Amino acid sequence: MKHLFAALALGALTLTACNEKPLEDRTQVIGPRVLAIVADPPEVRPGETVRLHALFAGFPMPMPQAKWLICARPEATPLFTASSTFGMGGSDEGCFGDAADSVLEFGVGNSAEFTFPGDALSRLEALRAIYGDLLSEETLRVISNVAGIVATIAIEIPDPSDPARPIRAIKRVVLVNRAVTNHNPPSPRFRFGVTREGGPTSGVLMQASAQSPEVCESSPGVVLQVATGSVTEIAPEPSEDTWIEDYVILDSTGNLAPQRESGFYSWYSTAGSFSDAKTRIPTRNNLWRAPNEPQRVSHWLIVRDGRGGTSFCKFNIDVVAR
Amino acid sequence: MRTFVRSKLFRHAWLCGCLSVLSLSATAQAADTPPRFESGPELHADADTPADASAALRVSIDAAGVVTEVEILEGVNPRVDARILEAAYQMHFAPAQHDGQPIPSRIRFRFRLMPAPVVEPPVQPPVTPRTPRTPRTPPTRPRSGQPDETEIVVRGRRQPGAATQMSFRVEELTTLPGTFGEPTRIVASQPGVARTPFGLGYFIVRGASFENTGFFIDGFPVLIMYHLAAGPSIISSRLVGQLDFYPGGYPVQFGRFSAGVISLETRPPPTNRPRVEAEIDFLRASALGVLPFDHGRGSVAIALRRSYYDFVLPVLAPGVIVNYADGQIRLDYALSNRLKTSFFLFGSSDTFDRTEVTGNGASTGESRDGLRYDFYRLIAKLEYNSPDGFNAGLSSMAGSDHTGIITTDPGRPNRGINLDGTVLGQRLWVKVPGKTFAVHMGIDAIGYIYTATASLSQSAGFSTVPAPLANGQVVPFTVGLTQFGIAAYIEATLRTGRFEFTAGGRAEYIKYFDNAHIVGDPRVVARLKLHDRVSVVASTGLFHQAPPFFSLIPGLGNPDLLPQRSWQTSVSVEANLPFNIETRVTGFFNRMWNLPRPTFEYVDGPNGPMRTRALSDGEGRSYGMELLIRRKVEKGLYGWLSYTLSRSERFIGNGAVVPFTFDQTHILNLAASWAINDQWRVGGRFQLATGAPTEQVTGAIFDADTDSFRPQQVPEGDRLPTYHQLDVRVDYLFRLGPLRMNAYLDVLNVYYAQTAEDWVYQYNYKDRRSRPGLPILPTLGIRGEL
Repeated sequence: MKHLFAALALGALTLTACNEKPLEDRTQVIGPRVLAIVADPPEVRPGETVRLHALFAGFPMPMPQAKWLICARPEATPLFTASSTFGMGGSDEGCFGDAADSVLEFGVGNSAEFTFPGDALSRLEALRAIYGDLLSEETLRVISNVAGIVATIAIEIPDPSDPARPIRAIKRVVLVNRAVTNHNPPSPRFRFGVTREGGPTSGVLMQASAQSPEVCESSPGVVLQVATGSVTEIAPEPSEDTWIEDYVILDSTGNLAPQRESGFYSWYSTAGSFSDAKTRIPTRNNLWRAPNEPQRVSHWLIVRDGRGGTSFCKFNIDVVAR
Repeated sequence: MRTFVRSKLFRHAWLCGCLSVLSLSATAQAADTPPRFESGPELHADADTPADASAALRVSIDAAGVVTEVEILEGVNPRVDARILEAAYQMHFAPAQHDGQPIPSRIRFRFRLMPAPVVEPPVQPPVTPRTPRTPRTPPTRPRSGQPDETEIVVRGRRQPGAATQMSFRVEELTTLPGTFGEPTRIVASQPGVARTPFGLGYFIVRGASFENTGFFIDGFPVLIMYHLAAGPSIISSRLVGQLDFYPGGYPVQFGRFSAGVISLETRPPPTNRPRVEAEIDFLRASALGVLPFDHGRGSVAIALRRSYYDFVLPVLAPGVIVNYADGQIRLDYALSNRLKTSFFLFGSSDTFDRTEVTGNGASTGESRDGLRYDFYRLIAKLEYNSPDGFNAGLSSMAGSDHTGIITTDPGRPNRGINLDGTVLGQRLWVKVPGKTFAVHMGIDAIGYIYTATASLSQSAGFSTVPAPLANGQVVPFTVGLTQFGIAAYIEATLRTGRFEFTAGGRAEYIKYFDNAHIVGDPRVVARLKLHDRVSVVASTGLFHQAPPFFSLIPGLGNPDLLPQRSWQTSVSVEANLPFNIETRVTGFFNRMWNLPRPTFEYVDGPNGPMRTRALSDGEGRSYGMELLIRRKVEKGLYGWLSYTLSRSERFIGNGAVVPFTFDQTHILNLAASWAINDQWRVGGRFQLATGAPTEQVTGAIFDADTDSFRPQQVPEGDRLPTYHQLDVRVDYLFRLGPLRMNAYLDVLNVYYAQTAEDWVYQYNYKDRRSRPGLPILPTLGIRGEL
């Protein structure tokens, strides 16, 4: 009887396992992708200019050209995402799907700039026509001067591997009429451990190079090496207290509520795998398992503050045979 | 004769009584429900009598369940026949019924002797041979209310003039493949019932959401009727007296649910002698003990059950823990022939916990979703029954509910919500029978005094930029949640010739938070007998239901939601065909209003715009056709085909209509079981259902703020693949010394249909795989009874 139970359980387990169809690991960059968009600054006042920069990865060269878009209709998304927050929906899809004459293309390439109209916030009044008393004068004042509204900017770039479906991404920029605005986190800085086997090490400090803030390295021109199949711990530093900011939101009850940023770390590589795709305190360190074949592997670490601020850097690791 | 023995063996697989009904065929053709054996004396075979000796009797029973005439059709020998005749006059039955009224009946009855004891045979009182007499003075032995051991009734509508009725014998209920021998699971194979994923203990009835179908035990609502993971009923099947399934248009003594009702009436266990029963299989173990006292006037029964999914499931599905347990203590006592009292304490506990590995590689994090249902009820009942069918009663209920969900992720505080509290209920009813005019009226009240303790993620603010991971800040809060309802109902039935008309109404006062509502539910049922074998039944009515508790919690829902409302209409044609086949075709139309609609919209608040999570403006409708073709048990063979063609829709504004989340256009159930001989039975059940609607993903946009992809999708624009599954079951009966044993193998999904319960998408929505349902799930069990 015991053998019968074991056989039945094993059979069921085997069949269950056969049903699994693996999906791609999101931390592996094995095709063209947009990994991040940095808005500098992440919050702007009416009349100010925001500089936008996209982090592309996995594209073959020469890279196709990206288009930068923003909706031109003042009462609709994405310029006044506040409207979607009131139930209209769709803002987070950017201008995609809107009529061509309501979409403004304002740049091409990896970077672009956009200057918001000086009267952008005053156009919030258009919302009052829709929501009437739901938006009082006082509420509009709070939105304009304290909480701000979100403008959604979109980017579209042809996908060489799938011409029928271009790659699309969105990025929000907060439009607010106050002096103190949000800042992007500093460029990533972290320690790259040798291997976890035999206990953690202090690791090698890697930070933005003097030549490019988007490239992290330990010393100029040096590429670290790890053994095939090894597991390495990567530890962001320094303490987030040096750059975390406090801010105020208009919460779901209609009242102002204090908030504090938090650091969010996203991890990508061209080979191997991370234990977690995104980390945060208290478990913001990550583990990376090297591939089993020797090769040079590119990594990207992206830091976000949870309210639009973003920074990133790329670094290479050579995987060598044991 | 062979047929009789075979039927008996299966019908009484768990029973070691000396009495057994072989063929309950009421002679009155009009009987809806045959008489049910309740109590009677035991007789032992003497040394000269074969151990398995039995006599075939023809027994006449009056409308009070008293034996009035006994005729021996096939005896053992004159001496034993005389003792059997004496004992047979002391038996008592629940009378046969027609249209809810007790009627006289005559049945064939197999009286089986107990084997002679090996040592010191019990002394039997001398029995003087006697001749049959009619009528006979009712026996002095009190009607202890002992239950029928042969039949549990699962029926559609049983109120006078109600639309449909279905009754199943234990032989069907305990051998249906795929149910692990659990009688109450048979509801899932009935017309109008859509399947739910992963064997959750809920039912989607006639296109209504699962929370709109209520579970009642002895007239009082309970959180769940069935354990999770295709588990059994929360009440031991040995204590189940009757299961009523109302797919719609349920009678007025029920309320507070806007779709269907599944009502379970418990009963005292057989009290002709002490008994112990145990069952163990691949998934669970259970035990039942019964101790009669005061010469059978009273009894105490204790039943316990526990699953061990927690030992088995991690092997088959790592990270998933499902566990359940239940227990019941029941005390019954007959104060007189007509007045009975009972105290029933039962509790149930269900736990579901799924831990999912996050990340890849050498080190992983874990996210966890947990769910629990724990509740207890104590029901005290005093009931009066007169021989002419008059019935009145009073029952009180006190209990506690504990429900909770929890979600955890690495690096974030736990989120979840718990509902804990007390439930109190009261019922008072009177049923006045009558051949041409009958009335049923009563009052019932229910009160929930809950406390909701929650830890929820802080809501995103107005026009804020979302973060890559959900807000790490958690807002804990505690809120009292009290809901009270008191209802009065009355239902009158008028019968003239072939026509029966029932009109009823239920008025209820509902109060929750600061909201009070008075709702009225009028209901009408008409039945016309076109032919002795063919009837047409039409019904229509209104039904109300208070909003679900979770959707009333401030911050999570909206305390100002309105009671849900539905209008249900159906027309059925029923026919009893030759070869013991019954058919029923039903058309139905249900309209629904005030459905809670999840939302994130802003509404006007005291401080300006504030976000609400639910509004009462949801509407929908469902309509369809149900077909049942069933062969009742005969010569060890039974089976049925149930098919539902339906459509359930929800209105999402601007005239747009989408299918309901669990809408299944076609639902087919085929079940059959055959007793090959006295020891072996084989059966199979095949299920086929249209896949539930899902979103149609047309693309995805990368959100650079949340570091995730947002699918572009058409809501309910696609469907899961068609679901199909075959279950088989084999039973083997044997004796092991004094034990009556039943070994069985029940295999779910025997050909391993790779069903899809949901889609799991790749991070960029360019690929997907199915979230599989049950794998092949074999259960080998053995049941023994002393």
